[in-house]
Amino acid sequence: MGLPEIHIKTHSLDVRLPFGKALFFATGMVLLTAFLLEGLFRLPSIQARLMPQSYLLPDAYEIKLDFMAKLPARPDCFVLGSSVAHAGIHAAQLNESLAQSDRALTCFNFAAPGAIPAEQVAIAEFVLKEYQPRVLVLMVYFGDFKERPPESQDIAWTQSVWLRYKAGQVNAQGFLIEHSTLYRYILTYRKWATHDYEKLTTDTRLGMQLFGADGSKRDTRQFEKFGLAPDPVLDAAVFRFWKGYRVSADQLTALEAIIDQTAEHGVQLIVVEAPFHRSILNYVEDPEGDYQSFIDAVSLLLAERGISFLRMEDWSVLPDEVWADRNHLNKYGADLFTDWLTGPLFDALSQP
Amino acid sequence: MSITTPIFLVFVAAVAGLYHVLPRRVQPAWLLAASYAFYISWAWEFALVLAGLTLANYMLGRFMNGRRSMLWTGVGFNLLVLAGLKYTGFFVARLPVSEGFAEFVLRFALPVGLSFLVLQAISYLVDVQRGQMEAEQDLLAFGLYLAYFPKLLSGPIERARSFLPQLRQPRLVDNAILIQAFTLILLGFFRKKVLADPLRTMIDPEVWQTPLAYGAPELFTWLLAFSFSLYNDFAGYTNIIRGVSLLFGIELTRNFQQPYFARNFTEFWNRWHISLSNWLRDYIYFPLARALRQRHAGAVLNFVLPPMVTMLASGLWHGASWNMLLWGGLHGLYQIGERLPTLWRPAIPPDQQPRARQALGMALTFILAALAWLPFQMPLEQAGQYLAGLFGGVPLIMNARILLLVVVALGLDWTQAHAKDELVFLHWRLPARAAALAFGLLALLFVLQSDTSVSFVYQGF
Repeated sequence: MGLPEIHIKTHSLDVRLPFGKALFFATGMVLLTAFLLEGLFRLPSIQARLMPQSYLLPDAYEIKLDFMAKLPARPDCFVLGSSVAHAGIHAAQLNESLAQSDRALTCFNFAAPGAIPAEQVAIAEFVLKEYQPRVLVLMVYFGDFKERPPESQDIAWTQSVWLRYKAGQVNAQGFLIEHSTLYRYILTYRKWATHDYEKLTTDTRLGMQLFGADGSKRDTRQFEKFGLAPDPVLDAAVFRFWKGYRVSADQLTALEAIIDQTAEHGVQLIVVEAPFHRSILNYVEDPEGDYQSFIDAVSLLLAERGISFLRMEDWSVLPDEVWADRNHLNKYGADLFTDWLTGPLFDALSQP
Repeated sequence: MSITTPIFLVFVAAVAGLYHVLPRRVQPAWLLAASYAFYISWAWEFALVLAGLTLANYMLGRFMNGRRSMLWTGVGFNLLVLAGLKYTGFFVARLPVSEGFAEFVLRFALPVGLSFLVLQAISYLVDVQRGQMEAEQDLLAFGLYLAYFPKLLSGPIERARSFLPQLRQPRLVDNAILIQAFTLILLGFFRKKVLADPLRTMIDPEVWQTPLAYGAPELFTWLLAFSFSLYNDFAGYTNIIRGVSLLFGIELTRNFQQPYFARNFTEFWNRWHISLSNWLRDYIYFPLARALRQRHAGAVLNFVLPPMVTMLASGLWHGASWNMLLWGGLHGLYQIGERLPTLWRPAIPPDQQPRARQALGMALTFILAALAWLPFQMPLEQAGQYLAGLFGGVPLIMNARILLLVVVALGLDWTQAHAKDELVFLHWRLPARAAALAFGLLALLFVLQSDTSVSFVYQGF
């Protein structure tokens, strides 16, 4: 029995429906092909040969989500923060140290470049809902709390269609990203027609080699300019960045929001101060005053809410050789810092 | 409103939907209103220019009465409008006018599609003066001839004598026409989105400024990519708007016929931008050749001048610059060169030549046409550097993605050329037809997620 024929006739139109058998079969072929490819792209052996799937998030997070999906156990502790945390805490080392105690955790470093506290609110919300961890380790950095114009803030997370979908806002692209591996790979390869595509993929693969399986960065570079005095011309951008330092009310509000989120989910929040090389203060207008204003503001807020604030008092354990640049520790520095962190972290975890 | 955006497809669906339920006599008025709405979506100032051009040419046609003076007045007026609006910025910057006035005037500068409009208006006036058609009495029909939205932005350059009769005849859209229309639209999107845009974005844009920084293999690969990108860009556009026009039962001129399979330059220009070539042939080449013959000009002059003047005019139409003149001049030279042997022996049509010679002719024509794209695309100095760079090494295709797309583009053209039918797919068996359609849809779905979107090249003229 065929479909009933519909005849649409006006003085300039004479169409009989249904028509377009080829379109009907072609649609079937498209769906079948998509179904087969969906199955194919879900195979771990295929995925191992491909770039990380895209969630329309910054690259670092896509690589981390990819790594996390391949972990044998689901993490129950997440390190959040910006690039200083990404490079500064080796989660695997932390796990190893804590495994020997009665506070065993599986931590994963989910920090990424550019993720200032205002951005962390959305990231924390995602992590808390998606993974229901026991502990969040949030690393705060002096520079990330600097007041800056809204247009200079990276808001990739809050704008992500996928996260909006996960937060309950209906949108087709978010739905596809969430449910279709094939679609995520299509997004991964969406730059296939750019002239420097080979370089882009090579750069991404090289970048991925710096990532440990625990999500942290393993940078072996050593900064070589510590001996030089800051040059007002050459270092103009750095001077501009630090000029007129004021602790941002927005970032403090964001930190408070993260505290609320963790409290709501019953998750222990531990805040860690990110170390930075002392030579940074050469660029700051009021070195001691500005830095102290940051410490005071964060300490006060955390003390009011009963949150542990772990600070490394003696930064001399981090010599010049363990810095990749003035802000970021290299692999060796991260080992030293993580080694130090294990003790205070254990104590903080032991608190009720 | 660009024609590859979803909003344009919604616009077309709405206009076509209402068009087919309206009484026949109201349909042209509806299409005219829709066309002006479409043009206003670009800029209302453009619609004013269009209305002015329409009124002026309508009146010129009505009062022509075979007078050559009226024709020259009309041609002069249209060219003046084109030149005036194309170089408004140049004039305004040099005249002592207030900033506010300059800003106001600049809003009228170079309406999109103006070059195409002007050629159509001139062809109408010439045809009326020559008595090849009656002056159009119906202002509305004439207005639609110039403003018809599918061809408004980049042609085809329709002749009034083929367009206007279609408005007077009954226009019936049935299943067969609808399938043709949708196939053309899909084919157009495939050419534009799957072939032209990716080929263009695979070229490093820096190469047009600093060609010396690249090696011969890269320059060769990108010239190949550019040649196929430009062709598929314009051919894709034409396919889409011809398909859209068929939804209203109005057929527009085919603009391309696998030009890179041409075996000489005469054939190339019968296959590339056909509506422009025909316009140039009918209104410049033939009249000039006739005039030279009547004045008993020397054989050499008659041999050289018509193709050279025609091709230089084609270059000027694309842009009043030395680049475009050189591009046109090169094509003029190519045509003169390939006709030289006919001075001492009769020409053999390409079809009757040995296969090997046809292939050689095809390769040579493509290479020379591709080299002529250099001044078309970049400043003369850089074009010279690019040309020199091409001969600085072995011409290899270094990019597998470009090679793949060129092969697909050639395959599509070969399929059409082999069957001598651009809609050959409609005659295939159902499984093959469905598979081809599925391939096209999958490719489109894939590229729609890609970082590739480039404006139509010919919209800039």
